[in-house]
Formats: sequence, C-alpha cells, structure tokens
Amino acid sequence: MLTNIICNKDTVININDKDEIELLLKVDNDLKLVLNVKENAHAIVQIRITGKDHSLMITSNIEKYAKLTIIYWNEADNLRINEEVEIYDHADYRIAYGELELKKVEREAHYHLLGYQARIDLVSVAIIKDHIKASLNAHHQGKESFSHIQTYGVLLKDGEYDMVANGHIKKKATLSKSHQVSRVLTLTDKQKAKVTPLLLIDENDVEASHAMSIGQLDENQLYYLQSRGLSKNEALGLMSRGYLMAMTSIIDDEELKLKIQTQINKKVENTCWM
Amino acid sequence: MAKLIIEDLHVSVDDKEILKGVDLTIDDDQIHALMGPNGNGKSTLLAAIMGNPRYTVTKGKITFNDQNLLAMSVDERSKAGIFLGMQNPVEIPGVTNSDFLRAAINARLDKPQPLFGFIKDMERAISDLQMKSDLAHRFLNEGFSGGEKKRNEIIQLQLLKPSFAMLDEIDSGLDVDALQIVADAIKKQHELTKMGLMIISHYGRFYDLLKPTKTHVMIDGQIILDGDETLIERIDKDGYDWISEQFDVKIQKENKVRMVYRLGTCAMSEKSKYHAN
Repeated sequence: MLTNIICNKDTVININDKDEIELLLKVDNDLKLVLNVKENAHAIVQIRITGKDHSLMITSNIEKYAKLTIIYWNEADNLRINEEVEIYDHADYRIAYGELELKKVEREAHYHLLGYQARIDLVSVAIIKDHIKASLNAHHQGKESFSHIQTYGVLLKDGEYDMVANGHIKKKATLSKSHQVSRVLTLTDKQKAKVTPLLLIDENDVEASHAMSIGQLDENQLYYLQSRGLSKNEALGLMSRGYLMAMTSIIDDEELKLKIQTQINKKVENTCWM
Repeated sequence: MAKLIIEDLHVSVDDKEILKGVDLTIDDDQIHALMGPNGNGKSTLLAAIMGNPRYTVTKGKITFNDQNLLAMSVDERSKAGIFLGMQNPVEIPGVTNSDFLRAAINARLDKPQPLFGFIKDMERAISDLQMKSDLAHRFLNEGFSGGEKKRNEIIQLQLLKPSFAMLDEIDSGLDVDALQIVADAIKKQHELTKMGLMIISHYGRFYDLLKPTKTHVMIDGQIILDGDETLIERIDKDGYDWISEQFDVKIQKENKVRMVYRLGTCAMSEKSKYHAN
C-alpha cells in the first residue's frame, strides 16, 4: 500500500509490514526523522527533501530479516545531513542518494552492521555544480556482514566534490565483505574532486576492495559521439547519464527502476553540461 | 542526389602537412575504393571530411550537396548525412549501445522515434550482422573484440542511414565469415539508400565483395592514380612500388609514435621516486 507523508517537524515512522511510502521532508527548520523497520518487514521509502540552510538527522533501525530500500531525492540547498543506521541479523538495507539539483550538501553517515549477515548496498549519484562533501562509513561488527558503497559524481564548472568512503571491519566480524567503487567525471577544467577510499581491517579472513577513478572527459569519446550526430551538450549528457544511472543498480522493483530512469533522463535533457 | 566534392584539400596535423592538395568527386550510388600505403593520408582525408578537431584544413574546399562542409561542426556533418565507420572505434563505458543509438537517431529527427520501432530496427540490424542479442544492453564497444567493434560500426550505419558513408579499414579484424557478413550488410544498405561510399581497405577480397565503381591511390597526401577494379587487382599482386616509380612520388613511411607511460603506484617511497626519475 502506498502512503504519502509530508513532514515539516520531527517524525517517527514505524514500518511493520510490507509498505511503500513516499515522504516529502520539508527541512525549513532543523529536523529529525526516525525510521523503525520491524522484524521481517519489507519496505520501499522514497524521500524528497526540500528546504534551505538547515540540518537533518536521520536515525534508522533495521531489525532482523527486514528489508528496506530508500531512495533519496535531495533538492534542498545548503543542507547538512547526519545519518545513523543500525542493521541487525539478516537485514538488508539498500539506499540510493540522488543529488541532481546542483546544490550544496554536507553529509555524514554511519551504517552499523551489527547483526549476522547484515548488509548494506549504497549508491550515491550527484551532479555537482556547487559543493558536495560526504563521509559514508560502513562499520562491520556482525559476522559475515556485507557492505557495498558506490559513489558517482559528475562535476560541472566550479563544482567541488569531497567524498570519503570508509569500510571498517571490526574485531570478530569474520568473513565480512566490504567493497567500494568511486567514479568521478570532470567535464571542464575548473573543478575540484577529492575521493578518499578507506578500508580499515581489524579482523582476519575477510574480503575488502576499492576501485576509484577521477576522469577527465576523453576528447576521442566526445568526437565519436558527435560523429554520430550528437551535439556536444547531448554527448556530455549521454556520458554523464551513464554515471547517474548507477542509481538504479540497487533496485529490484522494475516499476521503481523505470521511474528513476525517467527522472534521470529528464534531468539529463534539461541540464547544460558545458 | 548526394554529391561530395573535394577541391585542392590541404590538411595538417600538429603543423605537419599530411594532405597536399586532394581533388575528388563522389556521387550518390558510387562506391570508391581508396588505396595506398599506410601513413600516406587516407585516414586523414576521411577524418577531415568528418571534421575531427585534431586535423586542420589549411586550404581547399569540401562541399556536400552544395553545403560548405568545412563550416559545419562534426554533429552537423553527421546530421547532413555523412558517416565515418572508424578504424579504431572508442570504448565508452557507462553508455549502452541502445541509449547511444537511440540518442543518435533522435538527434536527426524532429520527433523522437517511438521505442517499439527503434527496438525492431535494432534487432533487425543485430540479426543482419549476426551479433549477440545482448548487444543493445552492453556498454558502447567496451570489451568488444576487434571484429565486434567493426560490426557494431555497420549496425550504426544501418540505423543512421547516411547518404554518404566512409569506411576506414572496416574489414581489419574480421575473419572470412565475418567479412562476408559485413560486406553483405553494406551492400544491402547501399542498395536500399543508394548512398555514396568511400572505402579504405588493403585487401582485394573485401573490394571483390563490394565491387567499387572507381579506385584511387593516395601517396604522400595526394591522389596519384585513378582507375577501376583492375587497379585493385594490380596492387593486390604487385604492391605500390611500381606506382611510386612510374609517377615519381615518394612513399611516406608510417610514423608511429610510441608513447611512454609511467605507471604510478599508491605507495611509492621517496627512494623509488628518486630512481623512477
């Protein structure tokens, strides 16, 4: 069942069953949001955030065997987001951050994988014209816990991107896996991109990896696309789209996937990439 | 009627003159073979027609259907009906073949092509070229074999329906069966659209399949000799030295610059940095 909620003050949402929630968070003052996903509950939550110059604190508890997919569309400007998430045994937490509105954002998030086989799949995509600063931290405490952090940024002129992705496998979290992928595409000369992948391993018999690239636009790729009739802006948009579509990679629901693709396509078409 | 006219074309790359006065006219429905030793300007001519920004036209004219091609951007040339099947198609990770092709088709239409029609056209082209059905969802040329890349160029040719196509060694990297498949697809498209074609190849076998109407030999940035299919046979048998001698031109040796890249390391010590330098 689809539930629509509009919040402009501190809110607690309890998810007990199979739920689909669309939430509009109006951050016109400092806000707190608590999400409690009860044992065995399965939910998809889409959160659109608006507002300016305030902070948002999100606390989530994902109980045993629960599955939560969250899609954030952040349209707020100069927003500070703090997130604390606790993930218990066999719980499956999937989170997609979509920041396509060229605004300033600062985010610090801690995902505590507390239970046995607790997992998080995270993907963050952003078009950056202002400044995005983020620190995403997966703390493995449960045995056989899993984290996969993917971050994709497309930097426009004057954009600044500062991303720290941290996978910390603590003592006793044996057989845990922590993986990271960070990709940044810079389209002009006047941007700053800094990506810091961290893997802190305190236990033996674990798997950890990171892949990272900060790439300038390839002139040969641009020429190739233009030789097939795409204008420079269309070619840049197509290449950027490839980065942004990563947002759908954590979503199983085909209808939701299509909806996100449509939203990204619309944004790509209406953005000046030069 | 699509007509390409090249007059006294001079082209430089990094201040070095490669083309030294090329004259050529190609009408629609004609198939021209462009031959010559490597490093003598054939690919440069095709790249200059397409508008590759690395190549500077220093003198001369190119008109296509009475339009000044040199005044047009690369994408405008493509939309005017020019197509270049490239020798080394680039890989573009993150961009799927279907997204790319749909964008390229829609870029030349007033109204976007309906999705169903596009899928049907693409499936037909994939079947004609005997490629795997997952091609549409793969990233553009990423991880493709040499042969797959060339076949993918012909799929684009089929879907974009140019009125003048240039194929730069599109047969390299193809085995005998694939060569036949590619040639059949080009012939089919040629019969369908009556497009003009300019084909660079080193092999008589490919030209046998495509039956060029005219043959040109380019040496040292100029078209030295024109002929028919018998010229291809002669070159296939005797090479280019006889042309060089007969016309008193010097064959340019291919100048391949080898770039030296230094691989970095995450943990380079001060000592190793010193040694690396």
